[in-house]
Amino acid sequence: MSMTENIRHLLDRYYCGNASPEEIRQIKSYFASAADTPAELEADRRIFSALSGIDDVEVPEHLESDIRAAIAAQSGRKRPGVTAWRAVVGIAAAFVLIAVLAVRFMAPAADDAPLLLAQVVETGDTFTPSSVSLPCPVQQVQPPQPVKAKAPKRVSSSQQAEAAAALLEGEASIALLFDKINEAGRQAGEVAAQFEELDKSLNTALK
Amino acid sequence: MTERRFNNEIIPMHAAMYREAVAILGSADDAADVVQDIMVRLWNNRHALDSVSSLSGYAINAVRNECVTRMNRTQQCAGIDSLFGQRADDDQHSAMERRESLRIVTGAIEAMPDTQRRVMELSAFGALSNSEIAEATGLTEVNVRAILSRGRKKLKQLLSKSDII
Repeated sequence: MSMTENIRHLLDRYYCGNASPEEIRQIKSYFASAADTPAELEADRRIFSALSGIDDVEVPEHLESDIRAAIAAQSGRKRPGVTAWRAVVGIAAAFVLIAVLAVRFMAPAADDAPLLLAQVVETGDTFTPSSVSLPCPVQQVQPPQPVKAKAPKRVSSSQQAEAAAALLEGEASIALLFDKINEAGRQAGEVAAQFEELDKSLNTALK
Repeated sequence: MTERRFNNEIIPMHAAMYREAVAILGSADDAADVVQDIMVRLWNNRHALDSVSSLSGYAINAVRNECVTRMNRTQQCAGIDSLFGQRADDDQHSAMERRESLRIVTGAIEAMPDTQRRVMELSAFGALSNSEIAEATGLTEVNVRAILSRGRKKLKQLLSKSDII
């Protein structure tokens, strides 16, 4: 069967209402590409020429980006919520406090605590107790000398004065300790706030 | 199906899907809506797409089914001549002839009785099968076939008569 005979056959089917979408495509394609149509097919060519206009419909430029946006919204990329960051930083702050307290009781020198805090925040692996190092950066750690009540047979006034001074020093150290704890807590709070900000801006950027 | 494969193989189908939707619905906005909805659906079911043999056929069918569903609801079919662009390679003569043919075809269809007009509009671009037209109109396939036969013969008569430039 020649091309023209095939097309005539398809056209018969078309006018009987029997042509499938695929057969109609074949007829359209024939008329679109054929240079000269036989005279008897001229009216058919006009019909299909008119109806082929749909093939030239322009696709809107924004359609693809709209599709991608709809899919992205659908995916709803998961990321840690604000609550998760708070929990993480809260745990970190708790370990920092534990570390500070541990250092305080092992190294009476007041300068150790901020150094420890800095190290703890820097190393990043602060979330398990075992990873918290208790540095003795430069000096030997002297365990706190307990104020033992010596059992002198007699307590001299100078000894009394010494004891009183030691007590005062101890109180001062404790006060300093609490300052350091507060400072650690404040810094942990700042870090938490920074994570919240970051999370917010990331969420906004992804909208 | 991976995201990468979806991007490379499915997303580019949106053009053909859009033209199919326009051919059926006759509205650019509705067609864009349909394509977007179908694409999201395909994305959500992308893991099932690996077992599909013809992805383009699958996507086009999905568009067709959705269009037919929407037509059942809205019962409307916009004018078929409002969306056509001009072919880049048309010379002036061809362009004029095409516009004139289109004018005669659309005029003839618009003058037909309601049911016949609706069937002719749905079939105009060859996007829907007879069974799909039957589903969209609530008619039987036998009915659709008879209406198409009468309508198309009428068009041929009109276009044979008129002296188009």
